[in-house]
Amino acid sequence: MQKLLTLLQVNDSMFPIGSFTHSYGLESYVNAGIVHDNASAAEYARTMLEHSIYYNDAAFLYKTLALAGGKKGWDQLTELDTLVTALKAPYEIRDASKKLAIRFLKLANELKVYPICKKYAEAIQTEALHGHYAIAFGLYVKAAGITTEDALSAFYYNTLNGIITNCAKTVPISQTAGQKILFLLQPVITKLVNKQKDMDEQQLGLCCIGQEIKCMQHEKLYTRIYIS
Amino acid sequence: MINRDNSLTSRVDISCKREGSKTLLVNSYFDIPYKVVHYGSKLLHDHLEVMLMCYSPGVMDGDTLEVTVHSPAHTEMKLFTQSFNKVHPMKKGASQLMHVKVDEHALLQYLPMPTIPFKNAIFHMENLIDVAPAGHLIWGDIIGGGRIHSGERFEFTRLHSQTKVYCGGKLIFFDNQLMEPGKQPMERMLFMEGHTHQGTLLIVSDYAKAFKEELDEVLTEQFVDMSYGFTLCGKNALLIRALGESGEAMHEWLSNIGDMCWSFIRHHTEAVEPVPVAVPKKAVVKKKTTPATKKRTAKKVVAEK
Repeated sequence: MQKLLTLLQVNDSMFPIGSFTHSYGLESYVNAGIVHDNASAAEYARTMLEHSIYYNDAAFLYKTLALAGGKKGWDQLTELDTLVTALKAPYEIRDASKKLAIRFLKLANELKVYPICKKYAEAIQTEALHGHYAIAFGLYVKAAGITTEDALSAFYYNTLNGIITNCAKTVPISQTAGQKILFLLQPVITKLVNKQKDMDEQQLGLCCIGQEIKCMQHEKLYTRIYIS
Repeated sequence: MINRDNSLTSRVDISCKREGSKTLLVNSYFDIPYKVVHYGSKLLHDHLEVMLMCYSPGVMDGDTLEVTVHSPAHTEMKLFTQSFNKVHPMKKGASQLMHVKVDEHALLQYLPMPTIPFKNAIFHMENLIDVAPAGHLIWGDIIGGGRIHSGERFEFTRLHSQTKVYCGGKLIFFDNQLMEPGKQPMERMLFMEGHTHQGTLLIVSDYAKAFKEELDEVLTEQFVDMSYGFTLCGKNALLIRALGESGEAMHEWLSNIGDMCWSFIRHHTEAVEPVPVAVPKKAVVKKKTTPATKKRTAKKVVAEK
């Protein structure tokens, strides 16, 4: 029960680390009129989960949860951090991942200190490592004893929840329509969680070119309410 | 080498050396159906311009190509390809591997013509690039959706392109692109979004950040038929990506930006990176300049370290 409550707390969209300030390119899609109603918002959310999150942040989280312990594990973590930095090409997306990682670790370490999380936070602070949210989240929930399946399900859910909340604010879609999308995509999350372990290593970090361009264009948007 | 199933296993090596103000082609090697030739007159400019030619109709089933490009210290080379890289229908698949090494203070530009995967094409492209901390790389890549004007649109089976760039031994950029039209909503949002061609231009240089500031001033509006974005994808790396309708138009646009960047880097490095063994210039040869660079008199900037 304690583990479930910890997961619910650190994975909550209201966990104050600033995740609500990022749209990860959605604001550019709304600005371009591509995401403009319930159907396009649902398509955006589903495609993000199946073709972006699955190969990227969820895969990075899965790799973090599978890290070995001790010195070997730290070397693997260093390598993973470098790989994720090299994959996150748009500046705002890379920076968002770093900022969320720093804030998450700072706050989570106030709740309960785990040596590996402290070490990662220090490495980010000294710029030895870049820092990424999926890795920071993975280190903490793994140390807290949460299972891989629960951690992944919660991560996908909160990512989707973030997309829906942003759609409700910017498209805008109604709260009811948003909750319907969230509910209807539950089987997709289950499917992705179940097949996360089967992902081909060669597909780690696959890029969705359209989305990446929209993330880059966000740097030049005339008016924007999100940081990314 | 022609294999028993008529597929080709080919190797191409390209290297150069600096002599005085000139960069010369050395140690080049090519198998059938490839050829490495000078692009126009080699006396026209100090830098080296070479072209990789292919005298076969394109990439066939089972073909493998391995290309090695080496830019030793202080060399300046522009590498071109002659024609579109046509990837023919196949059952097994073909592959292309490029090893690229750019040494200290060397400048390499590579902007190949677009890759066009035909119906049922299966193609794997891998680029492993090692850039020295003071080296400069301008790297392009364009992929089309097929023989669009023949009505063949995203009918290839699979195209996987992986580009890894290391700087000083550290991985700084990894582009992992898999296109499987049968399994992805290829024409929908997040992917090609109605466009048929995608292009990428990567610049790795201590002057990448300063060059981005130039682009911030030049690229202020989106085009009607092309959607693009650019970003600092690393401390010393700039990435430009575009979606459009024409491989040729995109190649020309990215080439213009590449040439602008080439001139920008040369403008700044001439003063701060003198060649150790200086040989007096024999004759002043008028260099080619792009319209974009003619108009601009770029201010000197300090390299980002």
